[in-house]
Amino acid sequence: MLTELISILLIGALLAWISESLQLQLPKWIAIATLLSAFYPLRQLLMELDTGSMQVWLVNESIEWIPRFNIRFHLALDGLSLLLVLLTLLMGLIAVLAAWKEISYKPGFFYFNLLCSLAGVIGVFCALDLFLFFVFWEVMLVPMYLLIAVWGYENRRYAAMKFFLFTQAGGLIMLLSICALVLLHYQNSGEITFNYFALMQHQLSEQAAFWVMLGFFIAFVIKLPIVPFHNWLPDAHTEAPTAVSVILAAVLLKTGGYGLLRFVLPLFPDASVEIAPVVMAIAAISIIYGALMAFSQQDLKRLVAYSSVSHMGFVLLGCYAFTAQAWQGAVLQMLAHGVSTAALFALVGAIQYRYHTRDLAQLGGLWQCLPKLSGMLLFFVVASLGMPGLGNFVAEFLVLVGSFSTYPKLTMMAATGLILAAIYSLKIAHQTLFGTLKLQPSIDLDRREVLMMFSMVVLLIWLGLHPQPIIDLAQQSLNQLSIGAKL
Amino acid sequence: MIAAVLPWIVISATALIVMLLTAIKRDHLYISIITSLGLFIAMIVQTIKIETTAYENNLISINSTVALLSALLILLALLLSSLLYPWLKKAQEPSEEYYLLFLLATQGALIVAASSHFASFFLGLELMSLSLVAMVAYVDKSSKALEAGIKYFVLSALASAFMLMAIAIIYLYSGTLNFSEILTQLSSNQVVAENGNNLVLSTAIVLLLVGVAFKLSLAPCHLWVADLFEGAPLASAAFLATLAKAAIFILLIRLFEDTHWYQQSSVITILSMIAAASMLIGNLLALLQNNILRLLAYSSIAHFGYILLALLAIAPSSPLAEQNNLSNEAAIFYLIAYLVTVLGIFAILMLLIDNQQLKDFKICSFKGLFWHSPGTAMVLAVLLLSLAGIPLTIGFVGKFYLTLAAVNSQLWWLLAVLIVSSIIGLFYYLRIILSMLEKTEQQGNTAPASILNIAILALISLAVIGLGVFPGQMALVIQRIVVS
Repeated sequence: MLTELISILLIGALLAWISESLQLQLPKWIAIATLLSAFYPLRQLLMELDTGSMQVWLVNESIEWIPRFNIRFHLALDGLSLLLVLLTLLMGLIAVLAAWKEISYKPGFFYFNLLCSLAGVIGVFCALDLFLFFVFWEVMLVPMYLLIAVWGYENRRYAAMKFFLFTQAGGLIMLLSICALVLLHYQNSGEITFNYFALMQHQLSEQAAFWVMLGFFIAFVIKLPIVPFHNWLPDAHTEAPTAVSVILAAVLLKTGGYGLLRFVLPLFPDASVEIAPVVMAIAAISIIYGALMAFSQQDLKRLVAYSSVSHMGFVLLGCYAFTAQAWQGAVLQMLAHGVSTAALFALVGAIQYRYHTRDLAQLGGLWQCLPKLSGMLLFFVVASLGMPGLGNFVAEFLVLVGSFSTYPKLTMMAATGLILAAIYSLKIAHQTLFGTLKLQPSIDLDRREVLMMFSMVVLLIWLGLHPQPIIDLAQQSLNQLSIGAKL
Repeated sequence: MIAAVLPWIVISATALIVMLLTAIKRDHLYISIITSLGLFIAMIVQTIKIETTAYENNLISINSTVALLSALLILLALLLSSLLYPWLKKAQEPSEEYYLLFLLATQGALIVAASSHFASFFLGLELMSLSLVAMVAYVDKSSKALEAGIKYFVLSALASAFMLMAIAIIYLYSGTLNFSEILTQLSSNQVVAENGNNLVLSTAIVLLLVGVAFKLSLAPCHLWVADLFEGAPLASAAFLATLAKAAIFILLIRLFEDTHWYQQSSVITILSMIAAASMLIGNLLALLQNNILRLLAYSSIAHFGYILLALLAIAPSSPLAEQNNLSNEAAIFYLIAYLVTVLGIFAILMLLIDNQQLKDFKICSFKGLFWHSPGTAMVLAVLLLSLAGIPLTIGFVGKFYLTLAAVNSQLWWLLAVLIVSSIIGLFYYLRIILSMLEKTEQQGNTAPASILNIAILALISLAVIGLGVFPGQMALVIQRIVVS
């Protein structure tokens, strides 16, 4: 089922590329069709989904791959993975719609890369063999790199290079950790394996666990990203085309949070508890620093990028608080932030498409000529500042409630991030929507864009008013965490 | 006996036939076909015998590992020889002699790889090096090639002198030139026993290492390599980068194991320093290059630095897990991955010259290659990613093996250097890819490339990706061969 899912995306990617030579409009339709048909393998699963009585692992597929090291092509799906896979596919659709008119240079190759990187991300969310996970982790970078380097804005080469080097550095450190973990396991059990479950059983000595854990941790927080490893994100976001920013913010950053929940916490429960105070402090700093940096930006896209740093701090905070609510909050935050930030990037892209600028000083008074776009922008800005009733509020509230019981002081510090979020979010609204109109009027959102925005509005309201099904779906996976951490 | 060295006999016979034919009637096409045919037969013979061969006498020792690597060397030579024809056809000089030199150099490389005695090693080495000198300088009226040839000749002679000195010292104290007997003879020697530590052996090893480091262009004996890659004809540079270096490295592994170098802590220290310096210097200097051949030269320094890690991991110092032979497998896999990838890059460069698209190999002359000849550019990008060690390429599997072996032997600080230098390395590989991706209006005037060239490129890229995605079978074969 998962193998099919990934193959559909890859085949669609190839078709999109080939079709470019027939007709330039064809690739985007193929991309849409591919993403829609990717839901097909999941249909049965989604239909029979019953969060009350479900098993931890909904799907489990394993094929022999490299027998020398007992490496298997092992894909599996639990509630957490399912949520993130669905997010990936939905945001993929949004990204294709966002790219609809913007990408005219070599569209076939663009959609090829887009679909390949989505396939890689889905692989990351499903892989349960550490080697396979690493392969997907690295492979999703290459198409992403090409997307930024070819279709980005002025400074794209620098940004693409920085993106690749940062994540590759993290990846290599993780590779060392994987190797060390596997060999330590072999030393004890005499069996060489990269299997997630087998390695989870293994008890490492305290010192070894710390170092091995650190390798994974660094790789994931670079991706998340967390101060001081956040440096690549503003550049990558600013230079990337809109669709790529959407994917980057909505999906790629989530692989970091997913990695923490799936690998670091279950594989190294004791070491994670031990470093939790430090990590919580880093998370709080990241939240505040990201918010302050966001406030001081003049470039709209950079502002949203820094707000991502701040919001993803909540994910890290939630992961290391070691309470059930905080974990639920972290999962919800990944989803809600994915949707709201993707929407913000899409809107910024829409503004840039119309006015060819993202400079806050040059924008203003958009409400007078673009009421639909402005209304949407206001909605998502308000969502991102954590308005009750919308997804982000539930997520951040749960994280803060969950963390307060274990780390009250750090949580109070982190909570100021919400106030700062209000400041920078209102700055966006204030400086773009209100005031005097400084630019020529332009056409408002067309039907395609309205559809795209409206679906994200619905998602956010649903997440905000009725998050329980989502929480239930992820609950089984989170229960595994609490068993591991002996809570 | 005959069965074990049959491939050598075939290659030598081919060399003789080529020589005689050249004397009787010059015909470029025939000679080219005969060369390829001879190498092809040799490869088939060698491949059939990989697992059954085990032959040892005083001068050479062929086991299945050596047989596998010899088959690889012959395969590389075969691929390279089939690329020679279109290139030599354009050369002003008579081209038949090049095939002779090529075959002799291949023969030399095979002897070096199989030698277990300093006499056979030295003979093979000189056969290879002297043929190479002529191959490097073999081109029409290019002062750069002549300069490169002289440089290689002088420095190569110097390196040989160092090695001879080392061999003489070893012989003086042990009375034997056979690798596996040196240690036992030395320990029974009165003088050495009285002095306690094997200072003599250490001195000899250091002298020998200087020679080997020169041939492998490891830091600090790397200064010649960039000029040579740039100046020499492409085919000769490709030979030098693949077969010549591989043969010496295979020999180094054997010396390391048979003479128990790893028991000498000073040797381990020196080798670690060489490895670290090569990784860093190679990658840092490659950053500064604008010519892709010079860049490749420096990156080859770095890659042989990486592979020294596998060699160092062979030393059985407190491995994490008793994974028998993991380090040997890592060295072999990485060697195969690197050689195949580098040969692919040279094949592309030869193709580009053939197409008249490129006059020089500045990075900026690759600009827009991705858009006007996408096929070539894609292959080149895959090969570069393989060198950089990105997954789904054979280079990544090699790097994975290497990391696993080095972690197993707990070479932590060398691993740290590996990570840092890999990141630096990635930077310049990406630079080439970025340059290919740049948007240009200008259309490339693609002359049709020779079918043979395209076929070889297709084969190599298939191997690089195929073995990168499904390395399972090859890993098992290597494991079986190393164990036996």
